[in-house]
Amino acid sequence: MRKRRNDMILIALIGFAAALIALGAYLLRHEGAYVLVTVNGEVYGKYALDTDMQLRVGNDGAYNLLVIESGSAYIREASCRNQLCVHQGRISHEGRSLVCLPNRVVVEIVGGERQEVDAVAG
Amino acid sequence: MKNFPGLPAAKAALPLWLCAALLFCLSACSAPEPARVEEEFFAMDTLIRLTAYGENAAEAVGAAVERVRELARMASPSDPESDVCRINRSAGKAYVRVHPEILKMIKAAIAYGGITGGVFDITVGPLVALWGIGTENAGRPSGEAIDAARSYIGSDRILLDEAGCGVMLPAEGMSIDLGGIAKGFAADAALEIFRDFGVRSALIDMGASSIYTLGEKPDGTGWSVAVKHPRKSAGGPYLCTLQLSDQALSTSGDYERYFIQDGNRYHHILDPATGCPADSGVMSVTVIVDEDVPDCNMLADILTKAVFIAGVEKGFQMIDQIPGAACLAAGTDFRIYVSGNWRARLDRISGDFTSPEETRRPAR
Repeated sequence: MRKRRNDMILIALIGFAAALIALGAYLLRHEGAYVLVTVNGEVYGKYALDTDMQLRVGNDGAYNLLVIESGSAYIREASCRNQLCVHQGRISHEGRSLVCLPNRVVVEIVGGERQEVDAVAG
Repeated sequence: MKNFPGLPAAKAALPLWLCAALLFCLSACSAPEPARVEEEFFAMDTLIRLTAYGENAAEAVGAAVERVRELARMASPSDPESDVCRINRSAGKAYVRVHPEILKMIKAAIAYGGITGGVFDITVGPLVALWGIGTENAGRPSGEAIDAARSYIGSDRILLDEAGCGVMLPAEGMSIDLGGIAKGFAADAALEIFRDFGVRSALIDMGASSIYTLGEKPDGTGWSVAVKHPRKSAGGPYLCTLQLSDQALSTSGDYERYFIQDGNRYHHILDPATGCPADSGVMSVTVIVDEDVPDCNMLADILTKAVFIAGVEKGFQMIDQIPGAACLAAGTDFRIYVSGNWRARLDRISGDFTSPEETRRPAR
């Protein structure tokens, strides 16, 4: 039954390889979500969503105070007149974003949980 | 098979089968995804995002971005050298020579002003300035001021010199505002460029108010577009999600730019007939137009505002007359209404709203 034993070894090897691939895919999928901040289209910085922090984007003339807290991000304060970005609330899922048009600041959640939609209208 | 004299052929081939299955899995994992090119930029007072897949995607997106920026400059309400500002400055004085695209936008606006019974009107400029919604000077004007501003309105009064590409407003004080049409027009221009480059899968997102879905996603599924909840913030639930493919979408709501005075919500979509923000019982209107309708994005933009001002009953009668167009509206009664020709798949309707099926059901 030597041939039979070789078969079993081959099957075991294949099973092991399959497990490795599955593990790799699983690990890659669970890349942590982060907050991508861009100003006027240029990347300003990337920040982990699971680390609480405050960030003042911009300078004294035009700024947005971004807060990352308990896995969600929001703009607490802004120098702009309309304050729309402050009223946009908290975001935590991939694809959601906060936009401050006057200061040209975009805060976007990237990576993490699967993107729920391709675009948001309204 | 001579090595396995006692074994049936199929069983002997088991390792081979397993190898084949493993190879198949590996190849499926590493199948090349079509190239995805995405560019985000600010123009037309909003954040625009163009995404395209496949061959030529980079060239197509690059060319489309250039085109949209160019159209934004021509239609800008703030750049003093834009065609729109030059027309407004010369009101009551002289014809202004404009780009053919601006002439086309104005002609379409006049034509649809007629079809929509005057509810869509690009000459609402004086009213927009008077209310100042979205600026720090927003406030409810006096009735006399509103009446005075209304006397300048009427897109049928715009004078055109088509041969010379000239446009003139007949009276001083009149002004045009292409804000309700320029994004749709630019989306149509971007779509044309994508088609010329042979792009078959793309998303044109003109700052959420106008979206075009070209083809399907590379995985063969439709594009999933969520409509914002008119009363919840950006992180909250959506009103609903739609599955779209080869369709233009436009959404307007009373929640983007508004102010509240004495408990009343004053939003930015003004009704030329009353001179005040439209009060027709809707909070959010979404219009979908099929790709084979010419200028589908611009048409969607115009119809959305028209239905928002006219309300569900009159607005849907208008939509029913236009082949390839369908409409969804969220009423201030928290019911969702869809026009008779609505076909798009509707998912994840917010629990705050009554679904279209229930809305249609007659009251007991």
